[in-house]
Amino acid sequence: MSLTATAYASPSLTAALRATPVRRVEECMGTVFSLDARGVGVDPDAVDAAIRWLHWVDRTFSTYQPDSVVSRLSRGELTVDECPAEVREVLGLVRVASIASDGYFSEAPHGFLDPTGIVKGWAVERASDMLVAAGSTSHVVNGGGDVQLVGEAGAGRPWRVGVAHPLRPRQLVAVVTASDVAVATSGTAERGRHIVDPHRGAPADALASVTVVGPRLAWVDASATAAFAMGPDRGLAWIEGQPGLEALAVLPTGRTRHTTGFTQWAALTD
Amino acid sequence: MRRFLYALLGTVAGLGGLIGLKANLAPAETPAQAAEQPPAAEVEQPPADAGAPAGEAKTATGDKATNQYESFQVKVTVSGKQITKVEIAGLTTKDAKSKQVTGDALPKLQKATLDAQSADVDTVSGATYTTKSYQESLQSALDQAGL
Repeated sequence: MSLTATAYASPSLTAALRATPVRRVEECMGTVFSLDARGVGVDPDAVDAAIRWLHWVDRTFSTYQPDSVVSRLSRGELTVDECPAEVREVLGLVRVASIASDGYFSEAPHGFLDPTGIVKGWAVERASDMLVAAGSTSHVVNGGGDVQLVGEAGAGRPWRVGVAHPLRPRQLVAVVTASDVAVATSGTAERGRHIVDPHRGAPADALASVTVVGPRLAWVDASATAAFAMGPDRGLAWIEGQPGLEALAVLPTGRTRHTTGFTQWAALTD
Repeated sequence: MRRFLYALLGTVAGLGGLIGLKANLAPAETPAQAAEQPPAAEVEQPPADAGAPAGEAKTATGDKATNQYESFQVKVTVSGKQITKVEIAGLTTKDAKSKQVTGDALPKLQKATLDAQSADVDTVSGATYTTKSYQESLQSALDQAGL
């Protein structure tokens, strides 16, 4: 079964009348997704559909489940043309991200096809689009720390996104204040040194974390992964050259560096 | 409101681990129990309904947490939706050293809790947490407060 955003492009009047603020927390992809729809909110059916979509993405793209489409593709049991359109789309995004980042965003970071670096951000972006199509004008979809924001948190009040301090549990290193943006963070705080610098063939370790702010989460998430693999000098210079993206880097010493426009979005807490 | 208080106490109970951790710097190595206490709470004053005036301060006290070096309860004062004060109630320590160590840890506990509150954020971006580490995260505290 293939769920797509287009199925929800025409919210009915009855759905709109049933709309209400919604808050959901869902385990998926080995992490936790948090969904927070404000204002008049959104049709609960659309929220359920967005949750189903995330689980479908997990089943399809998982590199842990041997029967997933991506696992079978990786083993050569399926051709790209035999995969769902969504798989071809993600592989296209992976290719674009790899080219745009001089290979630092890798198609096969661990020696086998693994689009995991882009799938979660892309899935969240799409889930957010599904809610918009269902009439939501104000929501956050947070996939394990990668965030797509739509509209404002309240009338005249932009969303406030805390950036977790990678070296101090439960503390924030910055607060991004913005509407209609995406925020993604790559780092070693939760899962260790899992991002590989494909040019050295070794784990990237010159940064504690890098946080990227930009319009859409799939690209923002992939950019954060690429910038993390590049390290602070090259990573920040590269983000500086990407239209619409800004970044905050936290070094292993706790020192912070950021692109010139980052402070237009965010205040550092120190 | 009641559920909100419980969520906050869960957060504070987690932070209470700081104290146990500090105390473990003392000679023996016994796992601190402070962080393992369930965040069951006794709400001293009945929590107000959503429509109640926001400025009214309420106090809630967590269950007594005991480890080898001290026993204490975490007491939080909530005004509207903000924690305005974090205190340790009924602190008893085994000896002078434990008292000093616990005393050093207290400001950290208070600062961590108030930092998270005063930041007043809607959501948190960070390195992808596991299902398990989510339970200890600020995002989890925000979700619990909002659910």
